[in-house]
Amino acid sequence: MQPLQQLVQQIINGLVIGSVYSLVALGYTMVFGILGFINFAHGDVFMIGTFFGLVLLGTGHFNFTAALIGAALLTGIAGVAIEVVAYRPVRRFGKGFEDTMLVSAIGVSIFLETLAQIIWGTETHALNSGIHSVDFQFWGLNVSSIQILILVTGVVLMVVLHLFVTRTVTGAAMRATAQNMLAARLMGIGVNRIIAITFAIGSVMAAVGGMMVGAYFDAVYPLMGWTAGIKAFTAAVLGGVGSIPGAMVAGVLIGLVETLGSAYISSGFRDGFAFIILILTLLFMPSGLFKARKGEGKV
Amino acid sequence: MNLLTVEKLTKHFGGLAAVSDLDFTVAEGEILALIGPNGAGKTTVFNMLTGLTGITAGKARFKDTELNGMPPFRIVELGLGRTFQNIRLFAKMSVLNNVMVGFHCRTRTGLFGALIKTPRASREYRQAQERALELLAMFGLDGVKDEISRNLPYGQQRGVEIVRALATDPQILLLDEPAAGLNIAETEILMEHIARLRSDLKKTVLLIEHDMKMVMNISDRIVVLDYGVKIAEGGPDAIKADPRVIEAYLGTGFRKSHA
Amino acid sequence: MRLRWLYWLIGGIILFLIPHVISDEYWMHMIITTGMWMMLAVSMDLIYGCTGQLNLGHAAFAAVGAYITALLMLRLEWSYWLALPLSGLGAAAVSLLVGVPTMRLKGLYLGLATLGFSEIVRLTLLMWASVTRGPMGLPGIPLPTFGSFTFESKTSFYYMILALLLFTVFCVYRIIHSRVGIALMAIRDDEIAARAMGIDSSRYKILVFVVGTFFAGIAGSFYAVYVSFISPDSFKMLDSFMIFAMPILGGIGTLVGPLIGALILYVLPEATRVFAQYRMLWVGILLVVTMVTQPLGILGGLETLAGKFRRPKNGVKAE
Repeated sequence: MQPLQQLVQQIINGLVIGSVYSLVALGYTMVFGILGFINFAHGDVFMIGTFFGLVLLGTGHFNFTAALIGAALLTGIAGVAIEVVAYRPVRRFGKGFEDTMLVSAIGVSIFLETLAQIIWGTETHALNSGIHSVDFQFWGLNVSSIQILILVTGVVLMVVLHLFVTRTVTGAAMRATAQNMLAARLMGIGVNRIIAITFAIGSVMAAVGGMMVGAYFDAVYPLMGWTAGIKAFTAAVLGGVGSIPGAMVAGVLIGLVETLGSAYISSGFRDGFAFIILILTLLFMPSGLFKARKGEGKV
Repeated sequence: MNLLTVEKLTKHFGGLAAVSDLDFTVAEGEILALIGPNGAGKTTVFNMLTGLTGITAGKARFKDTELNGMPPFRIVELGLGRTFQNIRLFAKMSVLNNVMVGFHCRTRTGLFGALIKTPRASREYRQAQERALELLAMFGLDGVKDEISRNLPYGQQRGVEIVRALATDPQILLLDEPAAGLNIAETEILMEHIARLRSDLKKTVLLIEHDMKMVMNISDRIVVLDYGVKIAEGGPDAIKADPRVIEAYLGTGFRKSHA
Repeated sequence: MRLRWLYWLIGGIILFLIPHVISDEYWMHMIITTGMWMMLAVSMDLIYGCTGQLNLGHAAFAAVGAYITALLMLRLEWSYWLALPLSGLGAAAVSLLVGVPTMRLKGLYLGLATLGFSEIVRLTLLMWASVTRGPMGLPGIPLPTFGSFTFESKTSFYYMILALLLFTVFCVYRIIHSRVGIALMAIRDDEIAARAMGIDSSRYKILVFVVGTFFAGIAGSFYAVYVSFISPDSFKMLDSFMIFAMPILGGIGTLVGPLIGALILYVLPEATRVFAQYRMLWVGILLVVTMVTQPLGILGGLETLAGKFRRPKNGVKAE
């Protein structure tokens, strides 16, 4: 393959994985936009979504699409459950308990990861998605149908989300709550309901992303939430926590950097690139590309 | 002697000019009030003077020392103390300990002294405690010295904040809306306290306030801000009658109807 | 409290007699290990409970201390009594690598930075095989000797960890109840207000990091000679989470809180023979339950309970 084609190939690969990061990053960023709180357990929600899919596929009654939808629904419910059980009661304590919520999130994360390890062990499982991936070859490039599926799904979901947030009443309510929760409440917006919806959307998108990744690599393992979580979190920070377009763009950026770096610099260091981006962003550009809202974590 | 000198002090937040070209001085021993409608930039001036926010342009000087770029804790060491508009006491600490924090910049025990508990360390701590109790008693607060500060009624919390600022042994005290949230009786007491700050403790006071009765009563001079710009300066009587001040607070309709 | 000295005396006697009363090796091992966890929990809480800095990588500093001791004793054949303080100092020095650049980070961001750092430490220990023998670890760490006496029995190690733990608790106590402690509490409650009251918060935050990690290094040093073998896996990220959870459960910012937390999180599952995996499950659940019901931990809960029974002073009721 000629160098230019190699580059384009890697760019395509990067876009694909990046769109998944974007999907997961949206969960972090939306929750932060409304609550000013980073859901430490979001990466594990991503993982749980994938395992829901694994279970559904394992029963043999579902094809991939059905399993995907089923997993997304289950994960959405799980996400809301987590918010109701672990975060909402802490909010009732009032201001000054951000650390408390963070610790609660850590607790949820530990719980989910351990649970997954107990049930499924620490090894990697094959997803057995039953998808027949067809490879398209053109211009010396190799693009699989799964890749196209991931890209298309990612773009569609993000467009739908964007429309939802900007064009619907509920979306307006979400934006209002994110800007000023008290005022929103006074305007009659059921803030708790909106928060639950936000968590649900974020979890659903994470689950879809997870299923895609699981199908792409045909592998799921309990700690995948940790790795993907950090990368998606990096994307959220890079894009500017609280900014939805920021998360979309940054996720793709990270996917690109990671893939290109992995191809041209060192493949063993793959996971490290996101981490470096995170450190650099935190140190030099903590408000991100699109300007964070609701505080930046810097003194 | 002028304790505080402010020259062409300016603060920009992005495109917004919160404070523009402000000039004023505070002489030793005087009580100067900074007034103006909400959003006029008064607290921003305080934040610049105490190092909590950067100065975009202009200078601020405490006696001969320039305050630009100095970190807040250094400014406190120089001799500027302050209270906050929305009380910022250390919520989970007792009243006594809150005041003890004020003594931090005037004492020296470090890690070593803390670990070894040198006689000097013990003495310093004890002296600080005694002085803290003295100050609290002066303001009638020694009875609540062990209460957790966030449990106190609002008026008392204000008092504690002032005592805490006093503990830093300032030459000039910057009080940000000390009467906010106080009822009439509490405000009367506050006015007495502020007068005593000058008469008994020889402190200079720079105060931001909305309560006009209090301002007119206790200030020697007044500086009026509107949209970050100084529009008037002078004694209480002059300010009361100044048409620009009246317009800033009440709008032009008032002037027209009296034309 | 005239009889306070009596309570201390009784407590001291009990602590002294423990190894003579308990002969079961397994229980002694548990007690000794609890002592280490307590040291780690208390030192970690100095950083989190006292200045509000999220430190999720404390175990890594213990690892640094352990490796310093192991290497000094194995390669240079230095005495343990020299290696011990050097391990603490080494861990403290390493903490500056984390503390200084992350000085401006807050909350979760700082937590992630410490997590990342602990991973870096682990990877370094793993990859620097020429020095650390990588994944094979360092076996055969010699036992400490004092003149002709060798620290070999559980009893002797018990007294050592007891001394180290008491030393740690003593130092933390002195720090909290001093001018430094007041500054720390102020920083935790409201850093900006603390700075406005004349406190150089950045200096104190680093100070507390350094001191806390010093004790972690010492704990790690003890571990090295106690089990005679260490590897990069001896101190896992999960251990850091456990250490973090201990003061949270027991009550942050207190002296006794981390000790109680260590008892609950380590001894309880061990004593009830809970399977290692399920232990972390309980940690997760306990964390959430604690945060949701009583964020101040057990001690905080007790205080609130006590507060309800306290008579109001001057008409102002304690909450």
